Amino acid sequence: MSLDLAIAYVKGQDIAPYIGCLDRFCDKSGAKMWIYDEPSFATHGEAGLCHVRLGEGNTPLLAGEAKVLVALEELEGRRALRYLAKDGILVLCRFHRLPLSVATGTVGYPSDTLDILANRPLFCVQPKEFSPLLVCALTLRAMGVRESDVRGILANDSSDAIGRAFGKSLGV
Amino acid sequence: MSKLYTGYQAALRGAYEGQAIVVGSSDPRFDETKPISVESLISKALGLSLSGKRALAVVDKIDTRLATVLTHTGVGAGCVLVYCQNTFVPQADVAQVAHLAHLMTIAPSTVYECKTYVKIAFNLSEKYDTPVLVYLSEGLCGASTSLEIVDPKTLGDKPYQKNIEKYVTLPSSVRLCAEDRVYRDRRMQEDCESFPLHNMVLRDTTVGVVTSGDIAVNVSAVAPHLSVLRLGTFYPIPFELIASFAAKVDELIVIEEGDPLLETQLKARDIKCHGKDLFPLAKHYSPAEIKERLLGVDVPKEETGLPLRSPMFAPDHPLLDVFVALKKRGLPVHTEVGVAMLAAESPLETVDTAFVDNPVAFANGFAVNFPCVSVTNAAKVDFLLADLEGCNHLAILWGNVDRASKLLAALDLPFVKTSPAKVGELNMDKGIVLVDTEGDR
Repeated sequence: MSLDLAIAYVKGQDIAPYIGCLDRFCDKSGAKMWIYDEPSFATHGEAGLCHVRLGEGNTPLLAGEAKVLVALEELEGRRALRYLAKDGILVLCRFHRLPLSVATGTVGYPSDTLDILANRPLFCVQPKEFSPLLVCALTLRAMGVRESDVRGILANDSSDAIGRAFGKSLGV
Repeated sequence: MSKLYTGYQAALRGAYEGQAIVVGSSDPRFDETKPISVESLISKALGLSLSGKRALAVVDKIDTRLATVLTHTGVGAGCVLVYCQNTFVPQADVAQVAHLAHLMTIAPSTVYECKTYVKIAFNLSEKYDTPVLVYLSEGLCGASTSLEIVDPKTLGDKPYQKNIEKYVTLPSSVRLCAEDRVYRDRRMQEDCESFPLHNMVLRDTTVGVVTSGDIAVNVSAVAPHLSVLRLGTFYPIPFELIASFAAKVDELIVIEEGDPLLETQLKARDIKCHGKDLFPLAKHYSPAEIKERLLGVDVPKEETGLPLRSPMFAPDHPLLDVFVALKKRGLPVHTEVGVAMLAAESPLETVDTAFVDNPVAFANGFAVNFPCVSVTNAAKVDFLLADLEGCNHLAILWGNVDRASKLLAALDLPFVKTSPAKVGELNMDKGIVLVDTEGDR
């Protein structure tokens, strides 16, 4: 079994902690992990999409296949929405990083994002509460681990426990 | 033990496990601090190889002349060149060079293969006495996965053998080398049919796809029911293997980015196939593109009307001050492929060209007719000296400028040294300016 996770972000936002966290748990669970992030000279400003495959396979992310879409910025969450599976979970950080066209007043920052996402499984998180561990917990939920079990695992705050849960969910 | 590796890192790991020395990279995406010309890099790798040690160089370009020289003379110990795909250069362009220069070129399709193929490339290089090019697509360079790593095997060095018939290009020797190359090519062509680098998967036989590199992975992802022949080499091409595959399927489709090189060669051998009648000529084939063209399925598109984001410098990037000052001047600015290209985007919109290795020489030509500015990484100063000597425009060298200032002083070439914040205060239209971006701002 495998699970596709997409991280939508703005270049300059650090996704390494999220990748590192998932990698650590995959390492503990014995599950494989494959990552694709398009190489670019830009370290800032550009829209980025990182595809993480937990489990077997190294195929690219296709539209409608991601079981979890983690958006580190609200607009980027909306831009990458086409990659999210119909029953996939969107973890949306309500952080706004204004594109240049918005900052200069040429266009407005979309304000109807939550209305558009109303019918989708959505976890809205304020920037302060956003953390790699939360992403891992929600990924476990997307893998079908019961909410009470996820809470139990997180209550222990043991990376070994999350690692084992990953392995179990991925059939390792 | 396993660790996360990108395709590029996996290739370097393959070199380490294959007991090779990595002589360097000319690709600014991976090493912008120490730019080095492709010629120097390949010469260094070849020298190391002739001395008896395996060598690997990461190159950002490969031209026919250079590749032809390499394949004429041959190697000592294994010599492998790793080419990382650049957006501007489609796969078929590299394949064309490989064909013209008779340069064995292999194309891994996964990060794991990046490592194993480099190790195989060393063996092939030694077996056929030729350098081998390993082609990494842009997708592979950006992908990473956890790889099992193993300790390198201990290999003895190959003894150095003086061989002037082979390595001194006298007319008589060149003729002999050319004959040797014909014999070697024939051997490579015959053996390539059974290389373990190719992979044929037969499923639904109504349609069979012939492709190579990571496009094969994309095809399997979007159309897992189709039969796929993944070629592990651009040159030589296993024509008999393709013919046997074509005989097993009703319809053959060739998917290759860029010019229809393989398609044309197959048609010349009476192997019926589709190619550029289904896929556009000048386009990168993303999985979505392949799905649309191959299966005729509409793929969901990105929501339209959302504000776009342009790539830009980080707010504390030292080049930001330089380009803000240059924008006020309003002159055309020429730079190299690298981070300085970002100044072409809004809001700076300052860079006019960024495609040559030596923007100083380019600007020297441009300035004959129109005043301009060149912006170059100071680490390249060794290759720029001759052009800086005849500099007829404002040439800005940025980065760590210590070496540049010493060299220019030794040659009695006048220059101004300044900081990024003070570039705007410069009151000169031509001359050399060293902008120290490494010091305190």
